Amino acid sequence: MHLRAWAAWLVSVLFVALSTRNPLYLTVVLLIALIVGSHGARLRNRPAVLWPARLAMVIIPFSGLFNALTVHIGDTVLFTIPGELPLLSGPITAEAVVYGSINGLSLTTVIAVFGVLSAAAPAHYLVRAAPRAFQSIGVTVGIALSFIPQTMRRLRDVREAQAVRGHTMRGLRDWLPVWVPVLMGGLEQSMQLAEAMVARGFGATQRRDVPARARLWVLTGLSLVLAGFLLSLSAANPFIGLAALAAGSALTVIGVWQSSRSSPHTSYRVIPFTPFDALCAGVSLAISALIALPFSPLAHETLSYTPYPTLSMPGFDPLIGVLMWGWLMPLLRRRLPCDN
Amino acid sequence: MAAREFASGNLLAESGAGINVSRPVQSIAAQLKLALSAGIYLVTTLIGVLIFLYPFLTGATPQTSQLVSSPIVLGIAISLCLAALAVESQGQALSAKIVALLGVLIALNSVLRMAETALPTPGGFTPVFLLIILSGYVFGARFGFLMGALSLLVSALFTAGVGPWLPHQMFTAGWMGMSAGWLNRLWSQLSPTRRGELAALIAFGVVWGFLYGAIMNLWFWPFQAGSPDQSYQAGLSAGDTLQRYAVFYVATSLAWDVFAAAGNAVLLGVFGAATLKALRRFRNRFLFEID
Repeated sequence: MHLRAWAAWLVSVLFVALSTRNPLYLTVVLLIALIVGSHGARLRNRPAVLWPARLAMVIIPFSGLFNALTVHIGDTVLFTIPGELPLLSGPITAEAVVYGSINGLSLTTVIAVFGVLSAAAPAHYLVRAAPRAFQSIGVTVGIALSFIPQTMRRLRDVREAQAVRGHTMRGLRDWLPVWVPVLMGGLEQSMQLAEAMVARGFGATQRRDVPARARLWVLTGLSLVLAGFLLSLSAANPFIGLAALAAGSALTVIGVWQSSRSSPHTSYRVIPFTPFDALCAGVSLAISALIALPFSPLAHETLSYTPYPTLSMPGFDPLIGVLMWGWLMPLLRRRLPCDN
Repeated sequence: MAAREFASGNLLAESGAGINVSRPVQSIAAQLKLALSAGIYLVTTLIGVLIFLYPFLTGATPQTSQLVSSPIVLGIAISLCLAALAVESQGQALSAKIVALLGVLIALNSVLRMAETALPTPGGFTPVFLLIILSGYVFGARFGFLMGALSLLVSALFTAGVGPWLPHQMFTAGWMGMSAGWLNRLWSQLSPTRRGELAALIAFGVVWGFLYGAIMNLWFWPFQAGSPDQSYQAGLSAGDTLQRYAVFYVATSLAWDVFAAAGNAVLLGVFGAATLKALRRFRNRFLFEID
């Protein structure tokens, strides 16, 4: 899918994942993230994305245990830690265990949703998607991404060469004869790369500096953001501050956009934004709007859940559950956009 | 030759100086540009500091705090700051040498982060900060900021580390690299012969081992549910909030960050001298230009 479609999918799923504390919905979102992430990885000939499941197995029990040991609130007392131990002494309740576990589940779900983007969108898509204003930064990131495999190869080669010479790795100090050649090799390579870039004309054309007008927009925008923050935190009516925040954000984006316009740029291959991408983005955003926004006809009050003061079953609206599976739409895409 | 122009060590600030060594009187347009640029750096730093430190502001009430400090609002604000800084740092004309050097060093740092992810390391021990600190120290504050921020960005793409925490990590690591550049200036004034330089860097690494964890906790601490005596509550005084944060930090992060600080100290102690020598040697080669 096009990166903009992935961005819409990500925002949509995250919006709901961050809005709900209901473990049933969170579990559905986590499952969807695992399925979509694995599909994206399969398209890139990579193994299925299962690490969030493994992460969940560690984070959820840990969060539950930590919360139970430090928060002694709730009606269902499992046992009591006697004595005067700071933080720990007091009743251990089932509610605290469940609340902590939901915290862990929520965190794992957010990480898994972001993991979908890492699994499904190759890193060079992200670099290509960078606005023209970040051209030099984009080139730097591009160089870094393409040099990572070479650096790993160099590390392996140096280790093998040192091993052949009889060098053994017993402690940290033994890594010095490996680290220095790897670093020097990288620096030497950057020298050659810089010469090759100059030879190919990098920076040969008249470089246009960021226009003063764009800088002025950015500075005004950021000043408004700063003022908005301070106003929102201190004023009786925080909405004035929020308005300043929104206006400042818009001005900053305009400044960056103007800076982009002044950067000459050509594309070797443009990844098209297809009707399928538009449909996928639209459907994803519509699902999150239907589920989480207040005007929704669905039982969106089931999104909130707290086990305190007495443990109870979380509510579940089957319609919301069914709608969520609409986020599986990226599965209909059978190949990467660059294969078009 | 322009090589001497770079003796101060700030690679980005001095880039392009090889074209014209003598500095003519600046035009009004150039002065305006300089003032705007300085203003952007100042305001982004203030916003960054505010985003991390707003829990300690006394004016926040539960309602305003909840409204302004939602992760989405904070994420947008910090992303805007990073975008503005990225555009601004490019306005200083990144030469091919700087782009290549930065790219290769970031690749090296990303490999170190992958190794850290793959191998079991104790607590917060990470080799990522070694190059951020040393390259910021050798090549200057702006290079250090870009090195810190972009190292975290690129390595996150490879280690599935992209998330709402990433802009905060980029900002904090950027500050680490930037302050390493300032340490160089400070130390060259305190000790012109650079005696005790490595000890200063080790102390710097230890401080940042704790500071990085303490700053990064702040992005989620206000949303963290937990024991009342260590959770954020809007409307409290700065002293009370600081006390609660200190309890939270000691209970959840101190042990973790001890490994980060000790790791920085050990890595800088073992690899610092050799790495500094290599980076300085290449800095001189990189900066050699004929007018």
